[in-house]
Amino acid sequence: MTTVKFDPTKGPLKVCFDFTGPFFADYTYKLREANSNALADGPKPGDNKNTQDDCYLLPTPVEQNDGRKIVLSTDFVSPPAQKGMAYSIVATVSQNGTSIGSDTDSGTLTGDFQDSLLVIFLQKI
Amino acid sequence: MKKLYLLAPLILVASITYSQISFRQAADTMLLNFAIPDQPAFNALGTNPSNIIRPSNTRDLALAFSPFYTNGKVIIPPAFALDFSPGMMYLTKKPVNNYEKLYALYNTSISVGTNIDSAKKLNSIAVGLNMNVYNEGDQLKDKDYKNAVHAMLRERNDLRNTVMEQLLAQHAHDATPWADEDFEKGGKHYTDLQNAFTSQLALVDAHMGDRLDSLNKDFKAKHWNSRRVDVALAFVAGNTDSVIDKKMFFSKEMFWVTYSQPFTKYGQWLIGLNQQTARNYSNENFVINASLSSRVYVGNNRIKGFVELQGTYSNDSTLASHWSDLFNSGLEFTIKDFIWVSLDAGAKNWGVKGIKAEPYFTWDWKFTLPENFSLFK
Repeated sequence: MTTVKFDPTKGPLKVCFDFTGPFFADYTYKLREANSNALADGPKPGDNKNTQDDCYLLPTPVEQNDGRKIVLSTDFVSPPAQKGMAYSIVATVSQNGTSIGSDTDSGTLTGDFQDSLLVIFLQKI
Repeated sequence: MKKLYLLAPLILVASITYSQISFRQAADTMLLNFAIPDQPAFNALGTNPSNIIRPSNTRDLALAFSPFYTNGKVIIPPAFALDFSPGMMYLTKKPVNNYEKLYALYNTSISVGTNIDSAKKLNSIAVGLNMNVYNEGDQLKDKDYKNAVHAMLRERNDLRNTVMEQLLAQHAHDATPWADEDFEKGGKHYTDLQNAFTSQLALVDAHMGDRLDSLNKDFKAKHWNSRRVDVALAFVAGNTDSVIDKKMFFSKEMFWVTYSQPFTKYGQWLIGLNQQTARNYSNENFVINASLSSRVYVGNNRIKGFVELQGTYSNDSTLASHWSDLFNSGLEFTIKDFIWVSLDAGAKNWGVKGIKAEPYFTWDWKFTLPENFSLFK
């Protein structure tokens, strides 16, 4: 789990997911309430089929995201020909168009089903 | 006798392919890179009379050697080539959804080779480019395959998330409640959670793994000999000194286009065009050749045989313009998944009065990285 600090007086937070490498991925994005398993946003399903950005704006006012957790759960697989190649899944949080932190899962494609979980803890400055 | 010599590979192919390996078994074991890897630089340096370039999937790295055992003696292979793909490295740095847009880039490889011809006292160096421009058997591009895989991934992701939420809810009132962090290594309840998770998902996951295997096998069986188009280009420079230095001069240029298509369910038919311009060292003129080849493969992924017919038009100032033709046959087989041997035997009819048809036999070694190994981790 990575902690990302944000400025509650600045613009809205945005989280973007990037999937790099020769694999197919389907994911679910959730935003959990502080100190609770209840959801503040999501679950929102997505995939890496198209070229559209996989980005989500977090709820406003910005300050209420203090203590919340961004959860990205991804299932992915590569065709057999791409087995052994590298993959990377990155969740990046930005504010006012500037990256303020990210979490990454990277490794080697096995050709079988693989899964990944990225958790980002949001904390106001 | 000569005829028997030429037919020997074909008889061998027929006996192995038709009697020992059933076609159904063959289809199950076929990989999509049906033909052995080919490198334009090696082909441009080589003496193989066939002018066809085989279609092969782009790999991180491949090597080719001419024989290192001849006339009962072990020798340093006179010809050697290395093939690598910068596009494959790029592929691991980019999202897969731009794969189709940059398809040719990802499926381009560069080859470099050298050859020492002691008899002619000629050193050569070659550079080649190989590009797959169209391929119906590429799983990263195939819409049906992609949709089927995404459907499975969605199902698996939904299932995992449902189980995850159930486990979190069940333990929400523990002294230290389970949380998302526990799903990552290092969380307080990681081991307990993994045990609970595994018991609920293991059977489902095994079933989904079987579905994925089945999908991949079906795809291979259906597409191993799919339509594809490959183009390649190579340039050769040479010199007659003992050291390769600034006296190198243009020696040869070759250009290939190969179209491949299914030949029934059990074979692959290649139609190849080749153009080449080569220096004639005896009179310093250039010979321009254009060939049309037709090759049919039958076999499986480990061993396959082929027959080929080729017609070549040569614009040669020494012999005058003429047509020559070639009958070629051969075997290609793997010793390991990444070591290939190619045997060719046939006869070339020069099409020039007074020059007899010439039988030949050649063999080469080719190496690729094993399927489970990648340079670009």
